[in-house]
Amino acid sequence: MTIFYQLAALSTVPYKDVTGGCRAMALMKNRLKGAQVGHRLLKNKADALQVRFRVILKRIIETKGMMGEVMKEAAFSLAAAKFSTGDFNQVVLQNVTKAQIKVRCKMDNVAGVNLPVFESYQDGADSKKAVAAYELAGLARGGQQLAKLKKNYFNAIKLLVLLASLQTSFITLDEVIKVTNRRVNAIEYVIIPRIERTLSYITSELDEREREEFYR
Amino acid sequence: MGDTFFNIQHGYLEGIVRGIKSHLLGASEYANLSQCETLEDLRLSLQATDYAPVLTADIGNLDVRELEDRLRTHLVDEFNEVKRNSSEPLTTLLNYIQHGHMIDNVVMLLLGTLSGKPVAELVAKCHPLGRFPNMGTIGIATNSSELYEAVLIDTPLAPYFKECSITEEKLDELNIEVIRCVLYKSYIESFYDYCQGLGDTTAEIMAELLKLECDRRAMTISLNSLGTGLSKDIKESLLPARGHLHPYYLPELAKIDDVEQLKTIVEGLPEYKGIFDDGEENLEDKLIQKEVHMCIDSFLHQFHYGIFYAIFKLKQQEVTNLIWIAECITQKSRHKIETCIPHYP
Repeated sequence: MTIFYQLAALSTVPYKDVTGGCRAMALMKNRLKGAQVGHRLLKNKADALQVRFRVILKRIIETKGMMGEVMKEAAFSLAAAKFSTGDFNQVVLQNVTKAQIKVRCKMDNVAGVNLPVFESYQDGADSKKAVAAYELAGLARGGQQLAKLKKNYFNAIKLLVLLASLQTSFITLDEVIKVTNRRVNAIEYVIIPRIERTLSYITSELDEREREEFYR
Repeated sequence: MGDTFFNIQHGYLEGIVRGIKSHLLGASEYANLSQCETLEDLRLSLQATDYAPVLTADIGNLDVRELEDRLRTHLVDEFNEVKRNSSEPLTTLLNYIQHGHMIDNVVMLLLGTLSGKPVAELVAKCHPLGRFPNMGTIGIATNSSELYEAVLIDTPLAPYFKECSITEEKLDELNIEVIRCVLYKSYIESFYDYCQGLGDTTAEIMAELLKLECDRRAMTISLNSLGTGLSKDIKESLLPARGHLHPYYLPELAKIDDVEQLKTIVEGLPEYKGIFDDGEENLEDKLIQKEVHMCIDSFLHQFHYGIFYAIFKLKQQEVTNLIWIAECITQKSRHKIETCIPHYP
């Protein structure tokens, strides 16, 4: 609330440096017009961002809900694979040469704001050997469980990347929305009233001059 | 004649092993365990069993990893106890049991060295049953020819490396899983032949157990290699040639293109009739079930070495079962406990 009082107090102060006159009046009128257009534009931008923000929030909630299930399934399939294959952790760990799933970062433009979007992709090029190694893991025992395990964790990672992408967008958008709203409010409650007051001051000053002219 | 003198050498150990066997968890214990809500409950339930001294109250926060470590150490202790007191030919048989784990460890170390990890770290993570004295030396080798000439030749696994003629060139180009399978094939064949050499009941019992193991590998390998880039020749060289499927069905197994063909081949054998009744997803469970039964049945005979093999198979399965139960409890999926555990009498 206090911020509004402060703003209101600020807006009562007219621009001191203007000297009354027709030219100043025209200048001020232009400024008012500019401020109103800017206000409208910023308001539109804020609304657009807000819409996007809501969509992302909804998707985050959905994804988080799914995440729980998927992670649970993945962790469980690890237990199942261990049951049928024994301890295969080390074998897999020693086999690792390069990351198989990589993340690519793209920019998505929403009303002039760049939102980072992460995209996961399988690195098929250089990892031929690694892929073959995993393909044969559990050849003698537990191959089916391992295949299931791979699938489940792949899904989990995809979801994780999606979630990370959404969260980053969420944070970025949140900041931008705050800034934009602050600007909208500043124009609405500070700049425009100030200009209006200045205008009325100039008008009163012009009137005064006119009356003086009349008596002379 | 062999039976007459069996007890002089091995009577004591047979007694111990039968003792261990009588304390194996049975159906009622598993039923109790699967009712546990938390790991603490599990620990309390296990207090009534052979595992009481393993899970003393001094464990602050019992988690699955800790449980696994303790159960495994217990198993290894029992094994070493038996091995220390054994005399030939039982010692060799126990060595053979260890060789299976050694193959896993050596393969892991090979992989680790090839990707340049410190060996000391890897040795610590090896399965304790498969440890051998100069295991750390695998890390000394910098390239595959040194590895082959200086190191592998000195390990207990050298005969297998020699027999399956994995030369240094092959070490480089073959996939490590393939090497593991080849080694295992030659190991299990040699184990089988050794047991046949012992004759009598041992030969009879071990033949059945090892044939199952061979066939299990043959089936799972051919099933899991469907859709991979392995050629038929390589596939055939991975299938252990001692089981019921040998010699007529192995070449056919290597040639299959889909699961249905595998089913037709395997179901043709009286030993494996109905093994695919619940679909191929449950093949491994069914085979474990079969193995557990055969191991328990081997105790019906006396004066043979098969029980030593059987008891450690059973024990390992038991540890796996307990870990599975613990995992199910911690992940709050208790309803799934019974789906995997074989039935015990």
